[in-house]
Amino acid sequence: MRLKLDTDEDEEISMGPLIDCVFLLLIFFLVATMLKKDDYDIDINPPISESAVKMPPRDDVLVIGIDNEGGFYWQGNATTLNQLHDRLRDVAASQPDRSIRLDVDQQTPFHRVVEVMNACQFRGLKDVGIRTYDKHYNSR
Amino acid sequence: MTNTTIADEIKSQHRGGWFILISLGIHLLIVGAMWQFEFLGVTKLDTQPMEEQPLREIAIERLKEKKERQRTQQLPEEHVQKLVKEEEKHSVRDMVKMVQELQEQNQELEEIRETKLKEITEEPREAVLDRIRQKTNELMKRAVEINKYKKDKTSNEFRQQAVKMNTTARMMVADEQDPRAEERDEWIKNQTQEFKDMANAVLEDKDAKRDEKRHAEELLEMSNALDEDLKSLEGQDQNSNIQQAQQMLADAPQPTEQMSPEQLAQMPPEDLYDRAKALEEKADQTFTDIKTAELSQQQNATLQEARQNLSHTPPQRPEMGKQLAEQKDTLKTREDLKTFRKQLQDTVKKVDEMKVATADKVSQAQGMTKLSKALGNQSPQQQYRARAMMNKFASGSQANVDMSSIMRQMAMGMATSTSAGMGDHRETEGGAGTYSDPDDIAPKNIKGINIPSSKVMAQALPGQKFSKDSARHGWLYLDTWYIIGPWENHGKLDHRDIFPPELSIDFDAEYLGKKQTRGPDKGQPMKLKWQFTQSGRIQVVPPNERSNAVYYAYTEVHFDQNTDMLLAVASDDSSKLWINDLVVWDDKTHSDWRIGEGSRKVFFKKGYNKLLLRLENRGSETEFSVLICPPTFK
Repeated sequence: MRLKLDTDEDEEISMGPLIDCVFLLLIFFLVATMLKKDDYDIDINPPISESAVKMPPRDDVLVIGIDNEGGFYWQGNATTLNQLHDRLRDVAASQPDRSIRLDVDQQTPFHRVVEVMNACQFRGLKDVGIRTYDKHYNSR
Repeated sequence: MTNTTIADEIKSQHRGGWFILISLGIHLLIVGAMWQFEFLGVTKLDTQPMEEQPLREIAIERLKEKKERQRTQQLPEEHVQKLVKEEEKHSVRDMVKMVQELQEQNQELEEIRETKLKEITEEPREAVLDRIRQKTNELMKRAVEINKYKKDKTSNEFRQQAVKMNTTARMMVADEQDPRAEERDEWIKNQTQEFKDMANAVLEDKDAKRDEKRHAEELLEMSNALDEDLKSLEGQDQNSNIQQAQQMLADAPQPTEQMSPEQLAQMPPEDLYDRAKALEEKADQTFTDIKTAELSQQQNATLQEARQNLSHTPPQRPEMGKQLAEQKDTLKTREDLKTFRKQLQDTVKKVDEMKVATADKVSQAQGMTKLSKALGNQSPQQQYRARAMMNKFASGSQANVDMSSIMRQMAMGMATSTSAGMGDHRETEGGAGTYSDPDDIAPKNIKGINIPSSKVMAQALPGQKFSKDSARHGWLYLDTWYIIGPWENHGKLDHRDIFPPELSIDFDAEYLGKKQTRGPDKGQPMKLKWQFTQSGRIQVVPPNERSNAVYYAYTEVHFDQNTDMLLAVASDDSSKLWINDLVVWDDKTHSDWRIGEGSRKVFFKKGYNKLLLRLENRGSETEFSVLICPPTFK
């Protein structure tokens, strides 16, 4: 039997799979980028708490670290006490509601923690939390 | 238009199939890479360690080996240059901003230095007279002290002559046009010369005992210092203090070259660091001159004496610029690049530290000019009288003083009107002179202030932030301080020796203090750092309590609006307090801690206010307290 073909139709390459592929790659990179969180972690052994509340990771949290020798860190980078006070003053002036996370070691001298918490409280930064040991996160 | 055959259609479908296959392959590759190797370090999936994962371990081991190879592998020179340039670009961008700020800070300090030294060059005759009175008073006290335990003829003669000199000094006249002025100037000069001759005679006497000679030498040294001020009586052109100020103005270092950001951006990081270091050193030198001038005004001492009282340590910064340049020439591997990057970050951090430290100096220097600005329209004589009055009222001899008006004036940065003089100077029997009640802004005694110690001790609450609407009323004590010390005061409570915290508050600095008296480091100076202290009671005890020691305590308080407050300072033994760089309390007496030692009505500006307290201890124990309360509280 002779088939009747529509000779007027343009010859086209099917783009469907290519678009599929491109979209999948796009979604992958989007998801991968979203997965990447700046954690600003420093090398510490955080204290253990049974009653700590699990919080979802947030990029806008300001991380102040204090290592076991009492050294200060601002967003993961070593800083001095003068700079810490200056920066807290700036943050208090520009973003008084900013959340602050304190990353401290179990061996950190306690007066150092009080010092930073007092500085935050004095500057009017009230949303201050302390990171505790998390089995899931810290066993990475 | 083209014709499509069945074969073409089939071919097209086949091609679509290839695309599906390729995309599936890519997906598999991506998922595999993510799962096993934490692909590109972009994400970290929750991979619970399995008990047996030999393949994973091998893969990790290989990755580590690969990384180690990469780390030690020599990179092509061009590639290294490119990476170095990239790294430097970011650091230079940050450093340019900091160096530019340092340049501006230097310029500001230079202007303040000039203003302060010019103030000294306008020193009135009254300042010289007060210095002479102060020195003859000290000379008399020492001669009396010697005569107390050495009741021989020589020491008695020294005492009599010193008393005579002190009496003449008190009778000296400030007005040069007064005919008595010249006559009395001559008296004091002759009496001082006689005193010096007496001392020289004892020193030359072969039969004089050793302790007689020692005392004569000490008194001669004091009278020589007095002699310097007597020369200044000849007129302003003979005033050695003015001459020294003029010399310092003439020897001023070249104004800091203000390089543009474009020029600075052309410099490599090592040169920017060196420039920042030089700028910090220059700023420190300029600030030392400003502080010397300020001290000279505060203590009514000559510039030379003020400089001697200043314990100054210039900033010590490592030669990081040189290290960076050397390191740059030897970069070969990734590991070298990593170290270089770290060194670059440290260099930027150091420059930032320099900028912060210098900013603090600028802020202090600005504080020192506030009084000058507040008295801007006054004549040099009036300015001098105002300062003398401030010092007098700050001193512990005045129990209750209202200083709020002048503090408000200084905080607002306004000058007083020319019509409002700061009061008339009048001679008294007190030696240094007293001042009648001046205009509205001058400090004045306040009566009826009574601090009920038992009630305050029972009810006072700790605080650092003060609000009008706060539920807490009544007396509040400052419980949170940064404290540093001890430094040596040799048992003297005169607050004359100046230690670094009076120059700048640097919480990261380390200083050398009093010498250790026991332990393995006996004889070695103690290493001092600021320590955070929070007291659970009204009294604050400094760490490392020692006798014959000086401590400094620093804190800040916050007010939500401009407020007048009553301030009660108490200390064991003596203390001095600055609020926003102005001395409001200066008690030099040897006393136990007593809550109601004295009070001041002071002004706190809206926002943050700085408080610096100097604590001096003679005995074994020491403590202090600072309380504040609204003046209306009963």
